[in-house]
Amino acid sequence: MRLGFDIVAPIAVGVLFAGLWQAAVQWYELPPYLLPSPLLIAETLVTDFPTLLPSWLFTLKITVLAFLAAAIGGLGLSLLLTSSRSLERSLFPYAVILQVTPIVAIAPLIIIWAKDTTLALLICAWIVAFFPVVSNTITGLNSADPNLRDLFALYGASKWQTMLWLRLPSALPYYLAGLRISGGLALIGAVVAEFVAGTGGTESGLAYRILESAYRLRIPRVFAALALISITGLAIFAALSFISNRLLRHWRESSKP
Amino acid sequence: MLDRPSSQTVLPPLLAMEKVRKTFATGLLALDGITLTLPGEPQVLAVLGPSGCGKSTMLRIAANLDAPSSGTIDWPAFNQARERGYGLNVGYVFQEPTLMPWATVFDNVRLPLRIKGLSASKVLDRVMDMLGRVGIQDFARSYPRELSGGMRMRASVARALVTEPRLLLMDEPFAALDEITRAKLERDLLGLWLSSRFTIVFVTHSVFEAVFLASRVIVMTPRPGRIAADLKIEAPYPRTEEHRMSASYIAQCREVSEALARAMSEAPS
Repeated sequence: MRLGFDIVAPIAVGVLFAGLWQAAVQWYELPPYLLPSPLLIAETLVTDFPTLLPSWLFTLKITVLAFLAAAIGGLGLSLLLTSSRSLERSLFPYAVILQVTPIVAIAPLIIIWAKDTTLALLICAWIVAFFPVVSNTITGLNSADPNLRDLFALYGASKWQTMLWLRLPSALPYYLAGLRISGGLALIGAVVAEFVAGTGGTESGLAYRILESAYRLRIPRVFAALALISITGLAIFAALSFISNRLLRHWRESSKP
Repeated sequence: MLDRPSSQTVLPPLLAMEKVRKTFATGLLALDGITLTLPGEPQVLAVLGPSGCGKSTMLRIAANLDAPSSGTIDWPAFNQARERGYGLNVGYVFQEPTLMPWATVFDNVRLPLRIKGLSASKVLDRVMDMLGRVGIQDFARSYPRELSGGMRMRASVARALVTEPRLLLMDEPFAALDEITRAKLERDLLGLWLSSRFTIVFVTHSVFEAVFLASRVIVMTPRPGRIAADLKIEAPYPRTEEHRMSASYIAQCREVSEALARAMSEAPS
């Protein structure tokens, strides 16, 4: 029942919104270069799909690679930082600095420094995506039940046993919550970096398509590309939520930090 | 065979605390001069006192999870094993079941053996036998969230006993359970104790629980914790539910209650 409502309710809101939008565009006779109607956007999505597909795949590639790098590198970095208190204290502020610096501001530098544009975009997307993983995982690694820690100490568990059998499993819900945030951010990072990079050369993503279409006043195509980005973001979030729920099905009710 | 510390004891004591004081980093004095000997012969010792009197701190020190600020502690019966590089073979049960939510009951109970390097196949019979003794053998493959509070606590007791320790430390283990479940667990704990003969140190703030379980009750003062009374509870084991209704049990409860009331009035204002 609840699950049904959770799916039906947002769809109903979406249909209602699109219907009002469609009606408004037709009532006020808005030209497509100002605001295209939802039906026109859907039509453009289909007709322009051959053009949009390679760009979409390129953006997807950057997103997935940046996300994987964030998932693996973030976990590795968290393990490194929690291995010693002084290391955590001396390095964590720099992770924060990377996080709080607007990616738009450093992207041009990265694009200059990295020879390969794809690599530059990847680095930008990674910088945006890795921090939630690190921040959450560090919290998770330190969140193990103090009584269980005492128990491990009582039985003389080694540092490795405690890490493998206690701290890593304790961190799993936090790590997965970090990944859910990071997945969306990787996509945002990939798009934003490409906006800054501008002309993408031979390979170009959805952001480049949006810029190009806007210059040519092909606004329906801008919206079609935007829709693709949104759908991708939703799919990433849904996939990560699904994996997370599968992995955490044995946890208590409080599985989500 | 009732256990009373006798003068011609041959077994070395399990634990000897001498003037143990514990001051926390905040300056809080938790324990003020605890001198306590646990004889080698099995007994059930209840540590009774108000909340915050340092009972848990004392238990942590007894398990070597915490060190005294001054005074000495020794585990004469364990020293040989400790020299051979084995830790203290002590079982510990917390107020919460403290199970790993990601692991099955079987994996939770085998944890102490796993830490000692024994594989699951090697300890299968031993762990299953232990689960049977606490009455949850049918739940070996269940996860903690699928169990009731009482069964989780049974799993926690099984984990503490799976290494066959000579000393079982319990920190208000049944305090969070309902009355009926608690009474059943108390009886089953005594059953385990009678069949295996280890020493139990049971921290509680319930006079009734202390008197029902223990062959010896020490009463502690409010913070800073000191031992106000060390009483023997004379009643044969096994103790049944009828024992809870007997005149001698009620008289013993009154005696211990009075000792606790005296200890409370000693509290520094």
